[in-house]
Amino acid sequence: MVLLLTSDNEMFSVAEDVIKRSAYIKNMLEDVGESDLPIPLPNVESNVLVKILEYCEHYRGEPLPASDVDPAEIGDRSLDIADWDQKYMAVDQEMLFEIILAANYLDIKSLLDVGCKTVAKMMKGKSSEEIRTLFNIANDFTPEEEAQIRKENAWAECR
Amino acid sequence: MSSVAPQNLCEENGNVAAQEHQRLIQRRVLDLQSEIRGLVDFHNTLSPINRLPAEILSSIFIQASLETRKENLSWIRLTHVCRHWRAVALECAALWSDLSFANLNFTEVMLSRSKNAPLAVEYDAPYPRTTLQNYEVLSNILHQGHRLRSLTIMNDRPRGLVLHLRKMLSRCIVAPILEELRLCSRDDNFLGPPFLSGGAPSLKYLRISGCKIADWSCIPLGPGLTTLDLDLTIAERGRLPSGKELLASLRNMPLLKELRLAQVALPVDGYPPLPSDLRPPVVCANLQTLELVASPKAMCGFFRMVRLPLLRDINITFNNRHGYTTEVMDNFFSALHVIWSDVADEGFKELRMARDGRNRNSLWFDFHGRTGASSNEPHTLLLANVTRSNVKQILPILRRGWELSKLQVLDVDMDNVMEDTDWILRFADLPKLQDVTVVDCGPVMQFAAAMKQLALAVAANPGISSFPALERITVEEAHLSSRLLRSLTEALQARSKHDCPALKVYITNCEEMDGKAFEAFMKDLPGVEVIWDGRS
Repeated sequence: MVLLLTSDNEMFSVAEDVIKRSAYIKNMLEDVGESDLPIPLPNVESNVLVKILEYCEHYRGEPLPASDVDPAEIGDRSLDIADWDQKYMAVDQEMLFEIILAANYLDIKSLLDVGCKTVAKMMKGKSSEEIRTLFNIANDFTPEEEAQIRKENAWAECR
Repeated sequence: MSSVAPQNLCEENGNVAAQEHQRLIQRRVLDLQSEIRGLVDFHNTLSPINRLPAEILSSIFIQASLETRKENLSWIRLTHVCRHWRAVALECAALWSDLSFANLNFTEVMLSRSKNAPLAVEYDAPYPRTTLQNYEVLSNILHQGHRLRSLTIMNDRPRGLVLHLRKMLSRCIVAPILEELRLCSRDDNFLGPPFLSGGAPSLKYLRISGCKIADWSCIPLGPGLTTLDLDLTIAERGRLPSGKELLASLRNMPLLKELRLAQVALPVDGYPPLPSDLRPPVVCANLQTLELVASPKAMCGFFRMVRLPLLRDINITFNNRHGYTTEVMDNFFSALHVIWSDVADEGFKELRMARDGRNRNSLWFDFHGRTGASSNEPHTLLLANVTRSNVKQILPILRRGWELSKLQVLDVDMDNVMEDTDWILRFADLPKLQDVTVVDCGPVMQFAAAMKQLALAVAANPGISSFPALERITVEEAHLSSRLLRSLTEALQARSKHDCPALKVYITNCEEMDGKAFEAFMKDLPGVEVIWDGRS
């Protein structure tokens, strides 16, 4: 078992084969070897770690992604997300972005991909204004920048 | 509610000179605008999505753009949401490196925003004519050969309307990271130095089609190629590769998995003599898919020279303008048998044999081995639009030299060319044939006649094989006249008198079939399950 200590000081005891989906933890275990000391996770709160562990538990036993994949390589062009992953990602925005941040910190590539796809899918077919509303973002462009944007929009529309 | 400062400024009216008063007001307006911008910026930093680091936001932008970027530029609205998003997007070179040609002004913007990122270029020459701007933009891109990762140019418009590729390609001399190159053009002789004369060592995928070339040596072949697809002809004063040259090229491409050679790329002769042990001198150790468009004679010569231990799928098209003698066919299948003996001996997974509608002498075979593209399908033979002489020539050859006993599915889609005797002699004894599809009236009629004859023969001699495993018959796109329906009924009634597996008959897309005819058909065949799609 591996001990994990979250930023809000909660301790989790997790099976090694579950948490090894995190390349960060996997490497740490390989570098440090067996230890009774907990691994501190100063960037992850307990409620987020619970969600992360739910994901790792679900994919327990599935092969880990190859580590030598070129990150610049663009693979799957579709925004298709597996059913279970879709349900897993059906959380409020606050939690969604916390999961993405934690997946990034813990280096869980498949979860990070699903997170990015989920957000990309949320924006699909929406105008800039609708995206602003979706994520509660205000338009902060200067008039000059607005003019450049109008030009780009004209390019995008004329074919 | 206005802040105190503006009120104070208003109260100054008359106390200071008008010009100075205006200057003060102007300065205050600027201060307020800056304050508002600061507040809006701060407001935006509180949005949960803006807590994501730039590299993740960039990944999301790339993901969001992927689905639509080939069709349109609608994805750029992501860069119009707020200043932070725009700054992240403009810094993300990979977002701009898959160049779009939907608007050439924007292509240039993308090229510049892609900084030094590897470029993916897919250019389809516009119809009806290309403009000077097309040349300029494409030339600028090709000048950056050092960062081309994939290059596709589709330039196959009618002659006279095509880009002059040679001049443009001459700007790309070395392409160290180019992995994929697809050039489809009717602009003859566009390949040649200095295009890629400095090398393209990373090239894995090469497809050139639609053109004439001067010489085999113009083609940028290299040891990293995994896919080579050449569909080209040699120019008037050009030179075909000799057999020796072709073999030398193949030896130099040890990673090749897919090879397609169409038109005249396959030499008829000029191969070196076989070694004394007659073993083919070239081994394509990784080749899995082979597609050839050539004459049977050219293919026989080629097959003698190569060994293809991992071959899974073969697609053959005979492009002769004349018919083929049985001897030619025999030689071809013998040569194919030699290079693919395991499939010949153990049974192909699928063979599609068809004729090109435009060239009545063409013949097309699509063979799949056990591990090939049809590995999960039942053993299948599909005959489409072939001639009676094809059937008479090829089926006996296949029966003689190729294992057909595993055949499970037979699909016959050809008009009136296979006689009842062909059905009886070629297929009736196949022990695993369980599914027969017959398309059009002729095949239905002949198949029914064959079944009826066999039923009579079995009555006299129970040892005769009559499609012993047949479980399913599909009748498609046939004009089901009462005469044809009666023949089918009689054949199935005759068959049902013997010990045969339960039969299902599917009737799909057949003319003249209606509810009444269907009811009568079912009534006449009590032991047969009949399924009609309801269309007539």
